[in-house]
Amino acid sequence: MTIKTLCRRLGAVLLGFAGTSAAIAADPLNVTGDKFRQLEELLPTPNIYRAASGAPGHAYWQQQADYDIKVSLDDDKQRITASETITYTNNSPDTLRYLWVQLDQNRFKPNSSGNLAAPVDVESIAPDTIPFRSFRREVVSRDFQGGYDITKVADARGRDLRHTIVDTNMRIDLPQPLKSGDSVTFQIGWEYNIIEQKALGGRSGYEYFERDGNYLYEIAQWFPRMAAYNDVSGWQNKQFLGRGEFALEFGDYRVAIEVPADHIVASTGVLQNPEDVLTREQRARLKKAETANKPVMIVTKDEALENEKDRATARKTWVFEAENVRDFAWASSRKFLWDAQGYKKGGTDTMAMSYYPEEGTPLWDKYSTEAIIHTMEVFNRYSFDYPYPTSISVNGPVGGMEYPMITFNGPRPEIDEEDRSKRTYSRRTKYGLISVIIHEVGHNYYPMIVNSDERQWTWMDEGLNTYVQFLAEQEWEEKYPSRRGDARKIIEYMKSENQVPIMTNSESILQFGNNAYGKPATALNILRETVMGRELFDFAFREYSQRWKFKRPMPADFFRTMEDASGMDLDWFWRGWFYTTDNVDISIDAVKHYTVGTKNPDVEGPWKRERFEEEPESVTQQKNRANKMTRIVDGKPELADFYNEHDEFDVSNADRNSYTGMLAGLEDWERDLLKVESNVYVLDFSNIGGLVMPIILQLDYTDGSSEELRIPAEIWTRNAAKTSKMLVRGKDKLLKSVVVDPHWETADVDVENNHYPRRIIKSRLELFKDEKARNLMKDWQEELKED
Amino acid sequence: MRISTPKLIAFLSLVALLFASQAHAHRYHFGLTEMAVNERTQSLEITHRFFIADMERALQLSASKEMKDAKAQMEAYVNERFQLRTADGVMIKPKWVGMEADVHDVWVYQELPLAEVQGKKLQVRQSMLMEMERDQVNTVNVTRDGNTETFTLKPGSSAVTVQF
Repeated sequence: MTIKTLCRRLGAVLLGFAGTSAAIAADPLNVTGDKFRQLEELLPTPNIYRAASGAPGHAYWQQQADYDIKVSLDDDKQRITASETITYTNNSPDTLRYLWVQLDQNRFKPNSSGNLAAPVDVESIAPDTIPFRSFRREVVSRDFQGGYDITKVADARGRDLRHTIVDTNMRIDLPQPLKSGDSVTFQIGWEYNIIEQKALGGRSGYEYFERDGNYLYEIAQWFPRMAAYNDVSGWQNKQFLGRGEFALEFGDYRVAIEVPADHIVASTGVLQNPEDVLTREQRARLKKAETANKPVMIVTKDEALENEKDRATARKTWVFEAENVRDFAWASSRKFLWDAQGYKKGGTDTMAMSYYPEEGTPLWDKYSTEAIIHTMEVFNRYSFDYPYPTSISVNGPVGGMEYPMITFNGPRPEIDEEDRSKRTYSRRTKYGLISVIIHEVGHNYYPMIVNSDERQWTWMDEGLNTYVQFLAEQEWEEKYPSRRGDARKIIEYMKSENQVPIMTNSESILQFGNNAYGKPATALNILRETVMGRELFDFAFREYSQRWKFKRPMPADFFRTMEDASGMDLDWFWRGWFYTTDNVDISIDAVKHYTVGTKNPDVEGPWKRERFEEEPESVTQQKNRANKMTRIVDGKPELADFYNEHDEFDVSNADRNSYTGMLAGLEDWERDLLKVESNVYVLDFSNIGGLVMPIILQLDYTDGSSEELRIPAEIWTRNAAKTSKMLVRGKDKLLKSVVVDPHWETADVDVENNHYPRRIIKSRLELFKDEKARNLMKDWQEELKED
Repeated sequence: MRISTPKLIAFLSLVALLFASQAHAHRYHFGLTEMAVNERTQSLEITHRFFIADMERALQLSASKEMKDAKAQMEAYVNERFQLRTADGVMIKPKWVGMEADVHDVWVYQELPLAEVQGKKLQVRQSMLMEMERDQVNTVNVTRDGNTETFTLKPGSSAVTVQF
């Protein structure tokens, strides 16, 4: 005898009728769409370079590219003139007959693929109109002489090297093949016109300040640099079209930057000649900043305002060195204020610094450097100790962009043009600035150090970074208005049909922000909070970061490490969240209530009678009673007999004897089970969205108590479309209602079917109408005023 | 033979040039319009969600100042760029319900009595922000009976016909 037969006692349906059940799948065992199928055939076969554990293999290798660059900034023509010596070391097992070099600035050539392939909208509003912005970009693109002017490609002794420019790449043919383990040194000379960032967009450029006639330069993608060569893609020489960012090699840099003598330069690396370019006072302030507990002004506002009026004709050269970085960027202007504060903790010993024009005050002086330090504080805990000697945030035209040790961030306060001392900033600007700094400084970890291939997989750096950004934002202040991370924020996107999976090449992504930032960040947060738990997740995530620090991970390395370090099979999670566009929509369809049948006729008889009497009286009987109908038996008692005194529920001795006989044939444990006075519930679920997920339940009982139950996703293994769960509860525990995902932690797109019994869920519009008294524009107008 | 040369008109009402874009390098140029049939209230509920930063640029407003007049401007802008038309070209104008905003997004609410659209084939044009960015993507979700149908609108194909 089993529980199943014991439960056969009539299950009284406590909670009314079962809800409508979902359509029965054509493939009821779901073999074709097995959501728990291992990822074997999707992931590359492990090898000596990339281990099955997700760690670098025993023969892992990567190339090394070292640069010695001299660059001169022309402030009158907004032009760069430079030359470099690249030493390229071939650590691969392969012999290379040519090298590929990236020429990112060529995206701004009038006939670049990026420009030629860009469509224009000619009918969005009315026939024969084009958007002003697009029109301007077309006109400026045509007139602007952008892109590299390559003046020299030569070997170490100055002999010309054969080279072929292919849009944003250049192939250099080597006179002798470069054998495994060997190095080659060569030189490139170039010039280019710096783009006006606000006209052409992009990740670098200059900004012109009309009021004082000064320029502010944010210089990046400014030198021909080695394309990545690796064990997965060979040469990563996909063209730079503007979206898929960068795939780069680590190396050491020495960069000499010649600028007008009154400029302040912020740069990747450590300044090698402070005595040549900084005043004694500035050097003393920097020394003081090393141990300060709040930012120290290195160039004050008054000094910067004084500097703005200057137009030096003399030149100065700032020399920076950086070790083990994958890129190099810098900024220069005579407008810069500059503050700094040292940060030393664990393996981190760095100087956090901010550079901004006076237009950035009173926001930048208050938050920028503090935000840099806060970012390192949090990211260090979840990843690894920040290893570089500086971390910089620069305010200029670029909205937000990351480079090793240096980031460009956009938000500024509003300035009243009639009274420039009157400055305000909105709530949005404030949190926009803090968030963008956390995001861009966080990119130092992913991908500047955990060097994923951005040209191929945007999510590997944007998704992981946005996830840790969310943790850092939530540690800034309570209820920090994070845009991404919380499950409920991604629902509208998940519900849409027009998606591509996260595992999509950068250029082919539809809805970049949601796909490559929001969804992976949210997926990781759900994995941490709902699937794995913080302890297991944090250990595994940190392990991934440590394993791939200063190396180049691929998606499989991430998926495998998370499983390897946590001991959890997460293939179903990667499959669902990263390889499909399914969403989470779990419905609770029915709740059935059973109690245990004792088999004892003296218990069961009256129980059955009770159930019978609970049934509604038939209409015929009601009306007959109302009419006081007289029956023939009432008038002729001689017609009554045994059957009029005993109904079907009355217990006979034959029943009792049969019960005693049955008991005698049972084992002790079986007899004990018959005495269990529990309530048994069977809950039916269906998976409408497609993603298998844990089922989080809130069970409310009639006695006012409530219980939370977390069922792992594996409940869906046998049938991913429908499943049921049996719950055995005490005899007083009568279920009143059930809620699926009560904390909205799984991004369930339809909460209406999360309630049993169903309840009416108000739409966003209805909720809005209910709050009539609210001042609608309040949030936008909320200002912080400072004098 | 004379070749007609239609004039290109740039929209002066939306002078994006003067306005500095304070945005991430990775902008996402994305808007969402939800059109949901609410059987209970017998209305077609329309919710537009856009990023505030984009909307400010479109309306040429700054975050802290001119927002006081934003409602009228926003209403005019939405009416100009989000339009419903019947097969005969007759415009059906949704009722303005209101708008709200948080730090990141702005929501605009409109509605129509279900009877006005039920059974009709409507052309839905959603071209908000497409005058600003050539890679703007507006998603229109049409939801009824718990099922969502999605349309992806881009510059050049900013309208779709939906059977209600």
